[in-house]
This record gives sequence, C-alpha cells and structure tokens, in this order.
Amino acid sequence: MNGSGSVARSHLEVEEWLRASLPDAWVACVDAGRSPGSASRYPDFDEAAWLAEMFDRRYLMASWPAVYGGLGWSPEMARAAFEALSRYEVPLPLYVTSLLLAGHGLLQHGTAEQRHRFLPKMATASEIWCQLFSEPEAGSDLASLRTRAERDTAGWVVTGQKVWSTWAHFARWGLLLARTGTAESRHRGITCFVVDMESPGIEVRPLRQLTGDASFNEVFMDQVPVDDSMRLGGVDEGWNVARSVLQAERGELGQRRVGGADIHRLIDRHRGKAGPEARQRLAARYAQERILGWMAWRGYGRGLEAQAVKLLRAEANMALQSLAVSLEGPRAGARDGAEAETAEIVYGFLRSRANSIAGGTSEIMRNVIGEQLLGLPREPRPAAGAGGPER
Amino acid sequence: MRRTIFTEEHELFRESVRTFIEREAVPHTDRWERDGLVDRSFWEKAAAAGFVGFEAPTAYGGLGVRDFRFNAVIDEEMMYASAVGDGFGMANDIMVPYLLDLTDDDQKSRWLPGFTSGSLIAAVAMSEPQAGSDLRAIAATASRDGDCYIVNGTKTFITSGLQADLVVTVVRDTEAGGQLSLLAVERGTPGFERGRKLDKVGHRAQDTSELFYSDARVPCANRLGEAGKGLGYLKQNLPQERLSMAVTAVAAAEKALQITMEYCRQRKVFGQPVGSHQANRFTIAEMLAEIARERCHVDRCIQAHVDSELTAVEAAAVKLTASELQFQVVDRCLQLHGGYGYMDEYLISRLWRDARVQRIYGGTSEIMKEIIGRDAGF
Repeated sequence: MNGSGSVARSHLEVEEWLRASLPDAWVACVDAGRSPGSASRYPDFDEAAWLAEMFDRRYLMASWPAVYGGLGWSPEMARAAFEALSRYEVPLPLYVTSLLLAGHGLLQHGTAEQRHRFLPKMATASEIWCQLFSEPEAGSDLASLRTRAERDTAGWVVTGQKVWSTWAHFARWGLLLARTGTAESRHRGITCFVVDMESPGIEVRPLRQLTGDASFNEVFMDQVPVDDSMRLGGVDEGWNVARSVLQAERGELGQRRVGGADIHRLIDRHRGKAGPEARQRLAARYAQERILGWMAWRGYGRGLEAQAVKLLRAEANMALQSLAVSLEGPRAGARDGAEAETAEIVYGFLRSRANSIAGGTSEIMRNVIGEQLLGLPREPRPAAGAGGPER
Repeated sequence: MRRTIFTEEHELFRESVRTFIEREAVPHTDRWERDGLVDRSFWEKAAAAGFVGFEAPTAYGGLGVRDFRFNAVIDEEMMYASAVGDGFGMANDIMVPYLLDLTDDDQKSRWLPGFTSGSLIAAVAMSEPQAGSDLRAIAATASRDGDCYIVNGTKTFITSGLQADLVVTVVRDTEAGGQLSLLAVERGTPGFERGRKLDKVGHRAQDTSELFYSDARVPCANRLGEAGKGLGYLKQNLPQERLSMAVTAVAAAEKALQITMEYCRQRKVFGQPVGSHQANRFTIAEMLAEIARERCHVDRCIQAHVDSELTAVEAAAVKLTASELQFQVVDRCLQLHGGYGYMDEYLISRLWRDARVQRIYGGTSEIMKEIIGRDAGF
C-alpha cells in the first residue's frame, strides 16, 4: 500500500473518525479555518476517553508493523494520518514523544523478543516510557555521561544520576544510556538498556521548571539490577541507539510546535484590531509557519536534516510565542488575568523557552549541521574522545 | 569603564545599602519568593535605616535629600544582590514625587511620617482592565457629594495593591468636566475592596492585585493637587518612573551576565569550559559590549535627571533600550545555562521571568516608540 490512493484513504479514515469523535463546535472551527483552541474550552469533551480511543486506533503509531501493535501503514500514509491529527489540533500528551522515540529505538535496535514484549503496550499507551539520557554533568556533551552499568552474575547493576527525564514519575519503562567502557571511552563505551522504573534502587524526584510545572525529573539509580535481556543493541554500542533516537526526536520536534498559540489562532485574536506593525509581524510569522508546515508535510527533515528542521522550528516557535505575548500588551503581565486566553498565551510563551534547549540546544544543532551536514571544520574535541563521529 | 556620576557620598551610601540588603533581604529571598510576599518587618527595618522616602524633609522623617543618584544606588544594589522585596523602586522612585510635590501641608503631616517610617505603604492605581497603555481610556469615576468624592471603578495590576495603606487612584472627575484627578484612598475606606493577588510570570514575591471601588467615599481633603489636572501630574512623574526601570534593567543585565560568566567558567562541555567555545565566547563578548554601551546611556540619563534636564522623550528612549537589552541578555544567558536555565532553582530562570514585565509596565515598548516617533514629527 504505497500509492497516492492509499495515502488519501488513510487521511480520509483518520479525518472521518476525527469529525465523528470531536465536539461539533471543534469541527466547525477547523472547517472555518480557525483554531479550535485548547480542549478545556469544550466542557462536554471527555479528553481522557478520546485519547484512549485514539491510541486504540493506533493512528500515532500507524507506521509500526501490525504484529507490533501498529497498522503497518507506509511512512507516507502515517504522515497523512499525523497531518490530519495536527490539522484538527488534537491534544497530544507530552509522553507521546517519549513513546514514539522509545518505539523508534526498539524498532531499529531491539530483538524480536523485545519488540513483541514492549511495542504493543507502547502503541496503546498502556505503558508510558521515559528517556534516561542526560546527566547533571552531561547535557549537550552527552558522550561524557558517567552513570555506570557493571556486569554481575545475573546481568547488570546500574548506578548513577539522570536528569530532564520527562514523565519519569509516571513511566513504567525507561530507555537508559550507561557507561560500560572506561571512564575515558566517551561514545565508544556506552550501552543502551531498558530499565523497569519499578526496580529497587530507583528514586524519581520532580524538578520545578520556570513555568511552575514539574514534568521533568531527576532520576537517581543506586545498584539497580538490569537483566542482560533488557540490553538494546550490543555492549558498548549504545551510541548508535542514542544517535538514531536523538535524530528521531529532533525530526519529531521539527514536525510540530511544542507550547503556545498556533499562528491562525493568533491571527483570529487580532483580526480587525492589529495595527500596521502588528500586521507586519503577524504576516512574517504566518509565512514562516506555512513554510514549516509544508516542510513537515513533504517529509523534509529525515536523517541529518532533522537537526535543521528542529532548529528552525524551535526558533520560529519562540519568535511566535514572543510575538503572541507582545501583542497581549499590558494584559500579559499576569497569568491569571480576566481572560483564559491571555493566561494560555503567557503559559505558551514560558513553555516555548525550552524549545531551544530540549532535545539538543540550538548551539548543538548548528554544530551538527556545520560539521556533519556541511562538512565544515569540527568543534575541538577532548583528547580522549578524538576520532570517531559523535552525536 | 569607571562610572563618573557618583561622589564619595554616594559610594558610602552604596556600602551601607549593600550591607543592609545582604543582612536583611538575601537570607530571606527564597522564602519570600516561595510565599509570594515580603515580610513587612523588612520594610520597617529599611525605613529605619533611612532607605525609604529619604527625599522627604527632615521634619517628616526623611533626610531632605533630593538626588536621584541615591535612588539609583538602591535600585542597583537590589539587583546586584538578586534580592526580592523590590518595593524601593515603587516607594522612592514612583510614590515620592506624588507624596512630596502634590500634597499640601495637612496631607504631608498625615502621611509622610508613616511613609518614611515604613508603617504606611503607598501605591498608585492607574491601569484598568480596559485601560493599560492608554491612560485616556480610564473609566473609574469620582463625583462630588458634599465634602467627599464618590468613587466607582476597577483598577488592576496594582503593585503593592494588597499591602498598600494609601492608594493614589486616578479617576475621571465629573466636577472637572471628566478630566482626571488623583485621589488618595486610605485603607478602611468604605466601598474600597481588594481583589486577589495576581499570579504573575515573574516578580512572585511582589504583591500585585486588583482593586474595586463601589461608591467608595473619599474625603475631598485627600485629593492630590488640583482637580482635573491628573493627566498632567502623571505625565510629569512618568519620566522618573521610566528612568528607574532603565536603572534596574541595566543592573539586571549586568547581574545576569556576571552569574552566567561564572557558570561558563565552571561548567565543562566537550572537555573545556562552556564559555571557551568560540560561539559562546562571542555571545559573551557581544553582551559585555552591549551592556557597556547601555550603561553609558543610563548613567547619562541619571545625570540629566539630577540636573532636571531629562525630557519625557529621553526617558522613554532609555526605558525602551535598557529593558529590551535586559531581556535579550537574560535570554542569551539562560540559553548558556542549558537545561539548568529552564529550572526554577537556578537564579537565571528567575532573572528571565522577572525581566519580561520590564518591557510592559511603566508603558510598553510599543508606547515608548510612539512617544519617540511622534516627537520626531511622524
């Protein structure tokens, strides 16, 4: 099923379901070319039940093979499904990203047994996953991570600390990068594991962000046992898993905005009221958002180009949210002003500040683009890690 | 570059302000920020030390010194210490001109002793839900009934609104043909109610609230200055308010860059300090150069204000450039902190949150551009 006919059919199927399952007022907004706004505006809409059904229908994981809980659709068909979900601005929880990425890691690097064990429950979101990659001393420089996995008779024992683990406090499983080589081995001494978040020795502590939310966590691991059957890829070959997962993450982050008002919604809000300067700025943002939308639709941003799209998307959304909050004027001083929409815009602005940091900073994106895509001279590397490709 | 606007007297004052803040504010900052409120006892201690309303004549408990450089020293030291409890700018830079220049002797003796001893907190209420940047849209009214005004309306975004004992309220005066008058509304006035404390993006320890007036009876003896001349009074005081924000803005940028440079020295990435990577070194260099430029601009405006030369347009310009630079600097500094910059416990995240409103209050950046552009004849 690869022809354009099947692409149209997959789009139609998803769209039919969306029109039937979303509130009429929501659909009417989309039909009128307007933004439906957040789900909280539809008091009769049961968001949890709707999400459960969406996962049950596997539209997000449509490209996964049916045997692993997907629909076996071609990448083009899956993209058409995702495009329909995006067009109707359906609410996608934060853990969706973690599920898609962990799924990607398992599909690329997992054994058949691991895939059968984990993917079906991932597809229905009945088990939430988190990433255990970054550490307090290893963020942008991920290859310097220090969490250790030591061999023991039963498998492995993991000790260390991770940070920025989104949804770790609700996660059943974690995708872990740990050092199995020497302390100086950098990317050549890292192994990837699946960790049961209910294991003894794991402590999860939420971190408060500048939005006031606590969706990230610190994860402390003290002598956590991990069976060798939970290893993803070869010993000391975890960097390959990390790279493909990070690339997928950046590709995913390039496909949709994280945080804040959509350009159409912003235009609606200021239609008939915007002065000449605001009009110019809105028009510039509109052009940028359209271009990003088309890039996503055409599937641009595979492979190394994922970093370029992630970079563009992050900077475009931060500029968009900054404009949204500027256009609110003095109202934006408070988060709980008279109007819910103002509060949403202010929250979106705060949330979007993470865009140029999370999933790889804009500085790292530019480094990867410069070095790997364009072949420009490399950033100096520490002596121990000189040589092979990183990131 | 050596700053040239201060004398030895100002430097001695700076020392005592710094010592006071380190002793009385810094140890409590986290708690105040968490509780969303500064202890009132802090304010009384600050007043006892002579840091509140010092421009008032000695007869009313002040020092009788009218020299904005002293105000600037306090504003700067609060930022350099990253202390919260930023009532100084409100009291000294914003309220003092109203309470000193527009009051008669009776009003002075009623309010100034309390103000200079820290027992009376004052606020000014201009903004309304439908009148923020546009003062001409103010809808709160006052009509005469015997020796009282009857005030009706709603004010919002009022700094110190909950704690204030005296709120200078901008109203449309029906007696004065609907022109603006300023009425000092005291705590306990019947019909004067306070709303909730607003949940803000930044300045969490600062009390900002809504105020409601429904048939509030305010004695005519509480009117500041002449009836119907309120707009003129507001315009006369706005340059100092805006200069005060510029002073805070450039000091905040200096502080943000200082803590960021420390972070960039200590934190290693790819085997060397964050700041030693060329792209980051250049970012830091740009910020150092831009802050040096803005520092000169702000200092020149402080001196012009001391010499009574600062124009409304010049004040608008310095507020615009300093607050915009502040935000650009804290934003780049947050980025240099990586993931930690987005975490609440790192100072840079508070400096970033607190910076945003500087481009809004005291007149938005857009209004500043209107003032400058219209003055240029466009």
